[in-house]
Amino acid sequence: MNKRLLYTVLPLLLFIVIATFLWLGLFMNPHHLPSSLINKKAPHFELIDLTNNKLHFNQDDLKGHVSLVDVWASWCLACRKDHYVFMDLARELHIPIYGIDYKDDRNAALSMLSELGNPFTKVGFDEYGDVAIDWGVYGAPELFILDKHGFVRFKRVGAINHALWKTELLPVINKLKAEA
Amino acid sequence: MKRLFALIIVLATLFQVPLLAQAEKIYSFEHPSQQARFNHLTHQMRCLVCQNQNIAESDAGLAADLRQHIYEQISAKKSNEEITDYLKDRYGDFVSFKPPFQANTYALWLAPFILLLMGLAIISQFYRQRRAS
Repeated sequence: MNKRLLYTVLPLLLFIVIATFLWLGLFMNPHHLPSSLINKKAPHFELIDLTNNKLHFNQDDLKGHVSLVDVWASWCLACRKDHYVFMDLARELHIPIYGIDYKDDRNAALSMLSELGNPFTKVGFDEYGDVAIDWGVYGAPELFILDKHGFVRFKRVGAINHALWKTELLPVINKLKAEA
Repeated sequence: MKRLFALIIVLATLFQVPLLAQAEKIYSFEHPSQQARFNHLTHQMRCLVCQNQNIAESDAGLAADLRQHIYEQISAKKSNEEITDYLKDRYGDFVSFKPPFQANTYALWLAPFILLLMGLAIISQFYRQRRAS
């Protein structure tokens, strides 16, 4: 009797376990990958500034303050939308916003900045996407938030907007600002 | 009529092959073993843009960049392990189609064997019962 109970209950249990995993799988986004850079120091890199080729942008710029690093490109539509958000943030946030211009055409990128404004403290021009590989970037837009010691603490892949900014990203920045 | 059709299809197929072959940049190596390693590595690494394709087959820009990167690393005499570790450090274990055997993947690696044992147990139980009756 006991054995018969086992044989009827076991398949049901198995079914429930598998169904639960499949059900949860329906709501997962496979494109939200955890960055392996989280809690690690920003990679070493050296880029020339898009707007001023005498200026360099490297990991030393990321120390001493909480900062944002936005990976964008003029060919990326979502980045264009994000740009308006960054323009507002540059006015309100009082922390440096750095840009990495990812696999872009210099003239196209410059004309996007002159058209929509330049929210960036510095913009590294990563023409061939080499530095982006070091950052583990797999598509623009990607946003990194770094702490005062130049460690990557948060990454977001995909477009942002004002609402998301308030609920998800601002709390991270405030927390990092409060850290020693 | 049928023959003409067949001829057209054969010709169309023949002319397609070189077109496909040209779609991708050709990498040449000093040594055939390096070519083999290049093929092995690019088939083993996942393209993170189109996630179920490897970087050898994907047309995504990132895949082309990573092919170029692997090509340069092989030419610089880096070992397979150095190359895959470099990519895993940046893109996570997900970039490899072969997940490592570690705490969060024990279930993944061991589940098939556990299920096999369970199946064998059920089958042997079934036959034992049948022999008994």
